[in-house]
Amino acid sequence: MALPEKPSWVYVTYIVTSPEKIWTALTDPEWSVQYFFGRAMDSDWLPGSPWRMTLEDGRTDSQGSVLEADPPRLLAVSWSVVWMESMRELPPGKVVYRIDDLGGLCRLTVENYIDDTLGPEWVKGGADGWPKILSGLKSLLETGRPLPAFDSGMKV
Amino acid sequence: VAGIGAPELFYVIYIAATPEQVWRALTEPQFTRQYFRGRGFDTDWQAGSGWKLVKADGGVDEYGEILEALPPGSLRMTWRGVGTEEYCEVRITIEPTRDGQVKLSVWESHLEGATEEFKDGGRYTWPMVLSGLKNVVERGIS
Repeated sequence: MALPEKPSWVYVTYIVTSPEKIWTALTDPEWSVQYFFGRAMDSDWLPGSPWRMTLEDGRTDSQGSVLEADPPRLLAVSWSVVWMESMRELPPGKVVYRIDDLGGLCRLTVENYIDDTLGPEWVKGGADGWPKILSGLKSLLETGRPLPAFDSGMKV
Repeated sequence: VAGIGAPELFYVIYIAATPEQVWRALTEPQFTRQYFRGRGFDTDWQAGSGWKLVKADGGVDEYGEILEALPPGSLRMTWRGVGTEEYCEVRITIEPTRDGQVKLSVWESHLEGATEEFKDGGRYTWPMVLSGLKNVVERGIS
């Protein structure tokens, strides 16, 4: 098993804000609960440190380690989804966030690397979920209001 | 369109608005000028009609034909650029979600043998344009 060289899936969004604000929104639990289906981020975000994302009831949703961190430009983490029994044995993936400052406007690129041994349904899972999460992040940063809660299977 | 391939999903974005507001932001020049590199659509949005994107200086570098327009839910059009024989078919859907927002999706269908360079145009442009559309709509349009 191995992660592919090229991302399995990429999502790009442009946000009228600063790189620092995007970094905070990605890493601070007070922000993430507002757009990441209520999940709270938890880490010191230093290379080599563990990170996890918890559900409202305190259980861990996903976890991994910080592979690269260059605030406010780049964050790369390994990612294992653990809150569903069926996903605990799967090989971990990788998520890379890249933030480019275009001057009053930022480009946020999220790359998903999914293990070669996993089928296309896992790529589709990410492709369905991330646009919702990142559309909510953009709304929150631009208007101060999150998107209405999603009536989604990802809700617990 | 003859010789054109299956639709491929190019972009999805969620917007806190009604389908009617998103349709207006997508089609009316007063809004598109704010996010589509200063361009405004010139068309009557009827199937069979031509469309062009008009720049601030009156120039046109993108144009095509409306294949189907069903406001406020879907739009299908051919998309051509000045200086290339390549073109594609673009399909845009505007769907209300169960909790009162809108899912906007863009598909492109390409000719057999379309170059990656041509497809990269859409891959690069749609995220920028539709991020701008979302910003314009969510700041409020009346």
